[in-house]
Amino acid sequence: MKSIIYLLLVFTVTISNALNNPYMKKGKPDLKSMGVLKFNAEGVLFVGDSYGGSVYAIDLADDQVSANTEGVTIGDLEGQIAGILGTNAENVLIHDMAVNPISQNIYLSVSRGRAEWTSRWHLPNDLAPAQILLKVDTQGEITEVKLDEVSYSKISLPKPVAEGTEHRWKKGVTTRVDAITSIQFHNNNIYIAGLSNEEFAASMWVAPYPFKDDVSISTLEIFHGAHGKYETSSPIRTFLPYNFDNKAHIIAAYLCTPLVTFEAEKLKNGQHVKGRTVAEFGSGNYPLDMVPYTNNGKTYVLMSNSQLPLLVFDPEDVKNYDGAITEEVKGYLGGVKYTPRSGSGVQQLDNLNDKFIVATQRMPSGKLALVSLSKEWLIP
Amino acid sequence: MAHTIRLLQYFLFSILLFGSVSAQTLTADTDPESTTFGEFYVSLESELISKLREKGDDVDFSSFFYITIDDANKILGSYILQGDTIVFKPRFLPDVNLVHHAYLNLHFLYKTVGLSLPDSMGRQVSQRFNFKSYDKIKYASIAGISPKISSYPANILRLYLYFDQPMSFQNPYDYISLVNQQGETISEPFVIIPEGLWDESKTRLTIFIHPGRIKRNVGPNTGIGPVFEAGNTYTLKINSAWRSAADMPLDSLFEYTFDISSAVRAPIKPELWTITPPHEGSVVALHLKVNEYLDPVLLPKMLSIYSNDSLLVAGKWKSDNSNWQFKPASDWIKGNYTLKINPKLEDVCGNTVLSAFDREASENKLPRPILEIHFEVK
Repeated sequence: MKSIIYLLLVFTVTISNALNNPYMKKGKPDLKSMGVLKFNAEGVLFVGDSYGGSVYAIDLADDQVSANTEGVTIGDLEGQIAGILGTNAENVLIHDMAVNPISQNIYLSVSRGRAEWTSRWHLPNDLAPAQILLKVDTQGEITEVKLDEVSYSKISLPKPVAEGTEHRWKKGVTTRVDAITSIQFHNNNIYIAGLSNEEFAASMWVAPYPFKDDVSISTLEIFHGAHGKYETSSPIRTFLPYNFDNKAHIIAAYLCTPLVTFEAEKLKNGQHVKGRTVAEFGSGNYPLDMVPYTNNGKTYVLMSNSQLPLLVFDPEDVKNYDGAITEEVKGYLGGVKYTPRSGSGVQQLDNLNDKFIVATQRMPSGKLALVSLSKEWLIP
Repeated sequence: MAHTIRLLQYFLFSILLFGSVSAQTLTADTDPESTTFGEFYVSLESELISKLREKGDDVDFSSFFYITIDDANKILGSYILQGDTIVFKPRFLPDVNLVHHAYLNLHFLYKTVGLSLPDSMGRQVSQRFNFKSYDKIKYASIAGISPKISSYPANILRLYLYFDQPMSFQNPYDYISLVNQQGETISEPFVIIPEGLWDESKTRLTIFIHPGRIKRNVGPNTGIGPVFEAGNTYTLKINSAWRSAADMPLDSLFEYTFDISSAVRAPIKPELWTITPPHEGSVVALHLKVNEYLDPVLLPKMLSIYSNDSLLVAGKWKSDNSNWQFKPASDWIKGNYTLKINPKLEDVCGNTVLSAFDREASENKLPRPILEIHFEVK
């Protein structure tokens, strides 16, 4: 009986992927970088290629449903990958991580660029283009994902930030690496945050999926309480589409950690959209990833950071925050409160299954581990 | 030669481990100048190769022929068959700091082609490869310092360090220091250009002595004082940790001790130069005697010789401090010539024919400089 259900599940998923396929073609995507990875609920992988100014939707045919309810742990993830890349752990750079919700396989985009990581202000995409896609299965086995012959479709982003412009304060880093900083999927729309070549560079592209040619672009403006000013040039670092009273919103986090919401319906082509700043979580910090999870029947958001601990906030607090932060916040903290959780050095996050969030974490030994965080343990 | 040694190592290895010599050989291209650098090869008996060809795309080469760094994961790459050889092309160039292990698992190879492994053969052969070819990469060393004169004027502005190979993009000033005769390190003697001021080949570094400390009555000069005092001795020290572009350190600590004489604060005076012209029909050098320590790097670009019909004479300048020689590329022809002096010519203290680098206000009005010297080849 169990196997029949399993077969049915596989069949359903195969059908749903096949439905997407008319929009896809077979071949090798012309990827120049794989800086951002994101799966949708059907197991289609979206790859943000900042260098190419494009987003690819790739059907990896990785559609075997996993019933796994355990976590996945690898003590020395970079060490394991080092052998594959023909180098040592110090050179392995993990750019992004995403879990296929169907198979629970964990995908990593990687390069051999970590030796160049010398500043706290660097992010992986500042250092090298991610060239290799790896898969970690639930048993912890790592293999390369070959993209020579896959079904894929693509959209080119209108007006991505120009190539060759040096970052204002990161020497030798081109702002093009931030053309795409984060990708999310909501109500059959793909949301792409990053930098455009508009006067107000921080932007959000929205495109319906399956891809056609209609990509809208809106420029974004926020008030950054810790800096006491309006900002339009710093891109969203990580975000989450979230429904408040059945209306889609974007909860976005920026460098130096303001937390801002945008109404999704305002993100229309050519619009300049102002956000509502609801929190300041701390200075000198890149928010790295946000994942929603359920604890005791209620949804929370877990956020990883470059310089702050792992933190949890309640999206209801975001919704119910009265007004907005519009004046300078002293001491870098203000608005919606978060709960710090044990977990320093946690970088990549994604939902693995109902029980676990998978993460990469820099350990006291200096090694980067793949760890699984129990949602039961993540009590806000 | 290296190839032969590797083969010999392999055979000895096989005999030691398996008691017999098999026909399979593992090799790699370890020549960094080769277009196939980093490829690994295994040569097989033609029967095995034919069977592999028959199986075509079904063959998983990595199941029996693979390379590892850590003996855990196989490095990424692709396989092709070339004659009687399986070629492994790695995705990335080899990391020369790491030892690579190549493995040929005979058990899986024979299983793949559907043959039984002869009893005389071991199940697996392996070979270590090192891509750091020490015979090609040697320690960097300092080939010279310029100008090399008995004493430097106290207001010397530039020194040139020559290396025998291209150097890395490290901050040179992390490795260069200047000490006085008491052994004390001089503070802030140089203009710090973190990536260094290099020539195109990255073998010549220009060291600028802090001009603000040389020029009288400007901030650093009145505050910290000049770098050099006439009559004293100094030592330029170069730390051997400085690495070449090939990531090799210097062969030893480099020290160069020199005396300091009085500052030279006068324009270059070509009217005091003397030219000894050569005779026609030879490539004998023209001799130019000057009274200044002319900048040895600038001079060949700033002095040129023209024949009577305004044709540039090709040739090379070389110097023995105040004696310069110009050797023409072809024979001198009888006639009148002109030595033209570009006014941007400087001596090692930054003085030009137009003015001194650091002059009194009263010296502002200079006579029109001489920019041409005529001579005759007889």
